[in-house]
Amino acid sequence: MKKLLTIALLVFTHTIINAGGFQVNEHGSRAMGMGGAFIAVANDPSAIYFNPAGLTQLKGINFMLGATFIAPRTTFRGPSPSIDEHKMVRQIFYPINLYASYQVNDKLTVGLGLNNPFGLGTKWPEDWVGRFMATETRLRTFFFTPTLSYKISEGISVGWGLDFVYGQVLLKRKADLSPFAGEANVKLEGSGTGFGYRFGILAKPFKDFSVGFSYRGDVKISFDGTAETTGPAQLQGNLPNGDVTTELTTPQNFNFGVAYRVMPKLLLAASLQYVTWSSYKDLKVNFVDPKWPDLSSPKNWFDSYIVRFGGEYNLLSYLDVRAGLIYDKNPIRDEYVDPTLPDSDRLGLTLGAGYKMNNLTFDLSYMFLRVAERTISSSKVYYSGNTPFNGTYNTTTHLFGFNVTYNF
Amino acid sequence: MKKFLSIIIIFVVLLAIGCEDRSELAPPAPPSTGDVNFSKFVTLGNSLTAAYQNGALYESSQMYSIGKLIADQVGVPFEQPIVADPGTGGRLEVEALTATGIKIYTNPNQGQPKNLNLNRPYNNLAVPGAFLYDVANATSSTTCYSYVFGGQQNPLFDLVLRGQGSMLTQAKALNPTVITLWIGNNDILGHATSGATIPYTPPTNFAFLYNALANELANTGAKVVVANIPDVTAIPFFTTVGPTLAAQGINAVWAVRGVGDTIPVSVMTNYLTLRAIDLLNQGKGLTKSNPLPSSVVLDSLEALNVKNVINEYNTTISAIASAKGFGLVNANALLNSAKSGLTVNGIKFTTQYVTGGLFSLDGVHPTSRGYAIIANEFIKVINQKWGANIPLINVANIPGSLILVKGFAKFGLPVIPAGALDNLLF
Repeated sequence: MKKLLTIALLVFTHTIINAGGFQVNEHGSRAMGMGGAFIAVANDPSAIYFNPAGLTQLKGINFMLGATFIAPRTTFRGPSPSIDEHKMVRQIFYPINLYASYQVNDKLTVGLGLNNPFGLGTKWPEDWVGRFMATETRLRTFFFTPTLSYKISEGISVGWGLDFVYGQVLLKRKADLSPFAGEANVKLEGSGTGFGYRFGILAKPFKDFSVGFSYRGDVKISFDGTAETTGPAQLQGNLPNGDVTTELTTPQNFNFGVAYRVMPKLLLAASLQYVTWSSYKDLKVNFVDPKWPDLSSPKNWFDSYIVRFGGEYNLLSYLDVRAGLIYDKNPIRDEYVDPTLPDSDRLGLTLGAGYKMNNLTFDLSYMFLRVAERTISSSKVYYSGNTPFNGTYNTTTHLFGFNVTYNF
Repeated sequence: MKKFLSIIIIFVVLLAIGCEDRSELAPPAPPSTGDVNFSKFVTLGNSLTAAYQNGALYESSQMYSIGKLIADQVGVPFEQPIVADPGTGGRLEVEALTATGIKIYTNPNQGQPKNLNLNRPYNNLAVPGAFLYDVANATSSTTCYSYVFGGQQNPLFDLVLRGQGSMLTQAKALNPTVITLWIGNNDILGHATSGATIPYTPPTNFAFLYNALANELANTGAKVVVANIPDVTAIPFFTTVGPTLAAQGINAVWAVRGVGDTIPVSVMTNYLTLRAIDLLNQGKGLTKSNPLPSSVVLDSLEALNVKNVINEYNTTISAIASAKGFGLVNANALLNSAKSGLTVNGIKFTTQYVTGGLFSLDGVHPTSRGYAIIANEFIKVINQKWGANIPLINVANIPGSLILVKGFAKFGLPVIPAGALDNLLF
């Protein structure tokens, strides 16, 4: 009966976590309206995220709070040669952002930020063809970020921040119990903490022109959690259950930006974001109980980049309108694209508006993301036996952002 | 402002088309069936073609019958004498699994037939328990071989044939374009599983009957694929008890042999059937005065005879297939290769009882995945012989079929209730 145990262990041989690519970059409506080309602009409290050096531009005390509503729609056609359509369950995600800044004196500004820079998730029907790979995947991170910004001279500022990070992860899927009839439910759940830092520089070498650089470091989040596999009572003793640990290292982000006030009323900006996803080589889940084997699945992601262009036009004294364009290169190799994160290159278009009313500012933004259709024909992700999960993914996403900012 | 307006227009257009799945994917072309026309596809045979499994015939197994699997690959309809789960009664299910073993439960319930009113013969006319004789001659539970020669009714003939004539008559009535025939297993298997207490069909009779049947099938003009008889001593029904006892250090048990003497028989060179378990648990086989009966032991002499008979059957089948231009599926070679383990679609299979994945809990009949592996052999023969290009079945996509599972009793043997295996149809 040793073989029975072996069968049970197969339950966990599939890909487990894929949450790495879920970087969300929309953490302020003004920035989002300008396509995120905000590194050399950074003139509201969301500078804590985009470029902490920018905080020196803010007078007095500022509070900013808001959220981004993200509604992805994904279909999978396959597995090849079938072209049957499978629709991802629709969900709405709402990463929040909350920033405060206080100008201590002409030189020094301190800030505090809270947002969810890594997150999102996917959910597929419980009975869909890829259920042995994934039915639900969810990652959430909270970054608490105190910052310190210093104006070295009229033309140059610097900023630093520390990141205290809390993360939650949930992975659910089904497990095939062959040769026995039926399926087991597999659930991995955990939470963890990590620590990181960031810094930024903002310079205004010429009139109306600014250039910025910001860096957000990698954060190693150590998750502790539990694996829970539930199946028919007869097999329960053979199903892996117990405490697990895993680590997830978020990538580093290097952001370079420029901004130029072309006309008194028109600001144009661009930025380049370089993301070191290549650090995501594999994903390991370790069982605390040595009875169950540890798991490892290869990822081998590439570094990737995002190019951003945006503009802001001061239409009326109290109203700004904005637009932007984004190209986001995906970091996942064809072989390892799977339904927990069916990513592809993205083209984003944004619109936004800001309305000023005395000390209050309301910012609204909208983004449409067309994620390039991606056909996988060389998958190394298997949905049953050694059958590769080849097929075609299509995703579009709508994002709505809003923020309220109050200046004392 | 114009710039903004044009951006907005582009944006709205993209938004409108963006929600759609823009993929222009070609559906897979229907498979080429070469010179074979699958419009009237008939399968003839016994329990193996009917998709009998775990000691019963039931819908969730019939969905994966050899004929149904092939028909699905080709994309043609395939009607069967469906019986709702749990089927024809006595289905074996897994009651419990422990670190030491399996406990089997016999489901006392029956399901209702679901396709009795079909106004034409079924595509799957196979009857569990059918002998070679029955294909052309049996029309009911009281005209079948087991009743005519053994006084034992087989009501499944009534279920499948519905009083509309023999398998052959009904097959011909369908004007078949393709026929599969896998028959003859019971002509030797009943003999083997009874420890050689029930007679087998003599090879000369077998050749006579098979030849007559082959002529009939050839006259229909259909493409015909036949399968030969596997070596029954490779199935878990025979290979589970002996090796399990040997692993406990019990190398011989007292048994009555076919020749009539009572001696300690080696558990490795003689085949103790799954039916021996209950008797071993009662203490039989441990002393000369209380031996295992001949009916649960296929001794080495009997086994040799069984193998010889199967070889003769297969020589007949092969010669006739070749003479008539029939496709021939070498089921015998398939089972032999499975003894050392098969890997199909990334999944390993062995002939091990329960864990091997090929055989169902009755130890004789395949699992659904096992049936899919056999169906692929039929497809390979059709593809090769008639230039077809039917895709093979992805065995990994067939669900597990041991209906749930633990508690090995004495000697680490499976717990199988008394009588659970008495009425198996082969």
